Amino acid sequence: MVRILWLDNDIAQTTPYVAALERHGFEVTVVKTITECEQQLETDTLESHHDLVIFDVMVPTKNLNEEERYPPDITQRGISTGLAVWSRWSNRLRQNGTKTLVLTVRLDQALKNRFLSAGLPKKSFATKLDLRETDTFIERVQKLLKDDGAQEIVEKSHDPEGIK
Amino acid sequence: MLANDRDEVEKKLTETLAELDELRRARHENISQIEAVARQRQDDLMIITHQLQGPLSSAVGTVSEMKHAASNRDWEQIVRGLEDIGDTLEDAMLLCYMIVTTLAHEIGRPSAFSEDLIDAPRELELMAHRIRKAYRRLDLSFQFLVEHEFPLLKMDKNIFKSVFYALLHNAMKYADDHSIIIIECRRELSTGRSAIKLATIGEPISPTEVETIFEKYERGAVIKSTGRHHSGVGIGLWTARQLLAAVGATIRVELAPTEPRLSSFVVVQ
Repeated sequence: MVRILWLDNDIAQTTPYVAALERHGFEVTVVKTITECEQQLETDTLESHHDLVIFDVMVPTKNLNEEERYPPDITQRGISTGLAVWSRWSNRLRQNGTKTLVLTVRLDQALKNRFLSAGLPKKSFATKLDLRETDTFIERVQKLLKDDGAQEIVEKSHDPEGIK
Repeated sequence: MLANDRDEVEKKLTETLAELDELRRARHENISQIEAVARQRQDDLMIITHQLQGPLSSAVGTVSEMKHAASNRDWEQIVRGLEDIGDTLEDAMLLCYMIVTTLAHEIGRPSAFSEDLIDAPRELELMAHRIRKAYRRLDLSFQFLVEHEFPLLKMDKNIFKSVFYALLHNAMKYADDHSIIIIECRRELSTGRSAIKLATIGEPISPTEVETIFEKYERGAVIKSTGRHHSGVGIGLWTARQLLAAVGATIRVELAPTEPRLSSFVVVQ
């Protein structure tokens, strides 16, 4: 079964999309804190791992422990926590073959550039507005999961914006 | 004599030019300050819109998922979806009411209010459970402490609902996991007025913030310095105080001297 991990502090807003994913046979774990997300990612191995991680970007740190690991100046006081978490785990995600979808209400261009320069492919971004219909959301997830990574390599080596 | 006059004119000219420079500098500073405030307000507007956009996108998602439920005649899911959409719209509406009413008052267009009789404990219980479900804070529980024969509250129902929506929502946002929110309804001994207290264990409020926390665009110290609760604009508590003042009620913060994580908001009517 395809396993999806979803980090979003507004859990209520994920409800219809989780229902749609489950309807399509995906196993979905939604976590609302960085700590829970990292606990899930810790258990991932090359043999057994999540197939896709969906990251919200504006995720608040919940306590001093999280702020020691992700200080306010790194997360821009919570505005770019998703980027900080993804950056820390990106190598492991890549090694395991776990795909990433950055899904946020508003995608800040500067923030997108930082994700791109850290190696996340362009197809890995969407706004909640883009994917508000559950069918569109499912299509996007399925497309990402089917992708074999070839496109990612092409984009990395031919970056028209010159930001990598 | 002529030389003296010339010196005098030059001196005056120098003084006038200096004054002009000073005026230019002051004008430039004023413009910079106005621009900074305007930028801040734009940022606030962006955050408020952002706060509405997420739930509204999700409501569209719920509708699209209900179409599938309808084709499968899954009535349970349809009812759940309708409840979710109802919650989203109710919250968006209360948020809009608070902002519109308070800003209208600020620009000299006060709204008309009615005097409704409200069974506050009953309404608060319904609201607390609804908001807890809507925000998926099922780890939280409530304790209701209601004085015997607590009177019906005479207040505009929309003000009551929007103020307590803001307070309950804040309480749930800042409460520790698996904590208890205490909702107490009693009459103040000294005045006999009705007092409703919401007590939360969670993000502490500093004693220095007891008054400033109700000021317009005043974000809490925690919001300013950490990555927690980044979405705050600083209008929730300000609008709550403004709306309550408009109907003769007050709001204050009470801090527990020995337990810094325990704070209470008290509305008195």
